[in-house]
Amino acid sequence: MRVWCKTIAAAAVLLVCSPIIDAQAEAIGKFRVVSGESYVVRDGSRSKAAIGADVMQSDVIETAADGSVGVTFNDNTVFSAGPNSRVSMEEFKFNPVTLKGSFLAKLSRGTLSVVSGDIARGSPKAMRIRTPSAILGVRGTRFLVRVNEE
Amino acid sequence: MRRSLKYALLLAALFASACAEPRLGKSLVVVLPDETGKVGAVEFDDGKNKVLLNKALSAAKVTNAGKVESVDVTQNDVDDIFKATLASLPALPKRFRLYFKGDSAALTDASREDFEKVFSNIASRQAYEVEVTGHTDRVGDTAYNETLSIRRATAIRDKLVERGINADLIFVYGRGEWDLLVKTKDNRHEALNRRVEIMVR
Repeated sequence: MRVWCKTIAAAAVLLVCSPIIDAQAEAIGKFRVVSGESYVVRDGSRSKAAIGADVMQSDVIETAADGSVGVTFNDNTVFSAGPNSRVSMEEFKFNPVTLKGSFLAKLSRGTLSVVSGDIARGSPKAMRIRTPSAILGVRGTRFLVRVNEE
Repeated sequence: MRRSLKYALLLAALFASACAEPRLGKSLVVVLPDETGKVGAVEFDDGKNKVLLNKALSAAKVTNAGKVESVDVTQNDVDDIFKATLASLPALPKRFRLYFKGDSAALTDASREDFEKVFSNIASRQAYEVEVTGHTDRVGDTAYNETLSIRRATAIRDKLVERGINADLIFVYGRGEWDLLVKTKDNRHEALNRRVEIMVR
């Protein structure tokens, strides 16, 4: 009986605590530069981007006409989004021991400046950037993207 | 007559700019050299056509018809379109290595000078995060070396904090003799293994 209680208690603790250690909830990068009106959309709510704040998987970054942001990711990829931009972080997986992972972002409008990091050094398909009508495979390292349609 | 011609030309130009294919397409990709002049490579793919870009300022666009094709881009185009974007690019992450005297958390003389480079790199950033990982050589037992590696990393953190770097943004780790830069047999002195690795991002 006692053993059962302990097991149930342990299971309850696991259930309650597991969302905290869910990999999805970990930061994938941080805002290092924020200027003008710049926002992050997470779980359907939009808030102002702030220097030092986390960027999470599935975040959407949006900038107004005077806005721009710079982000440093966990794999040392660095990017910035210029004015009137919308970037969705669709996938980011990174193993800091093997330095391998995958990076997929979508630029729906605006501009992006990128310096790729460890993920792009893996396979040529590891880092990709989508635009509304094409996809960019990144082998390294510095490039610019603009999307002019919607 | 001259005047009407001028208007006609202006109208034609306006009409062309509104309807014609934009020179740089619906989407545009441009490759830039890195700070050493080296150029990487990206591939732009519309599902049917692929264009490989691997030279400085090589570029590809998506046409109105949705086709990816190469396009000529000048430095002026880059400045016009991407000036604000490039200005917001954060400082690139940088890795440093500092070396220590044997069985000690005191830096070697050469590394005392290099510490200044580490400090000024961090201090020049708007926002930062610093990871300091200590290491040892294989003199002494593994448990002792784990402690020594953490003492080394902590000594660097303290020196940075003393100079005004935010302690909350410095993360300290110790790897003892588990991550040698130069592989050696046990109990060998090796100056290159007595180090901290510093990642500034």
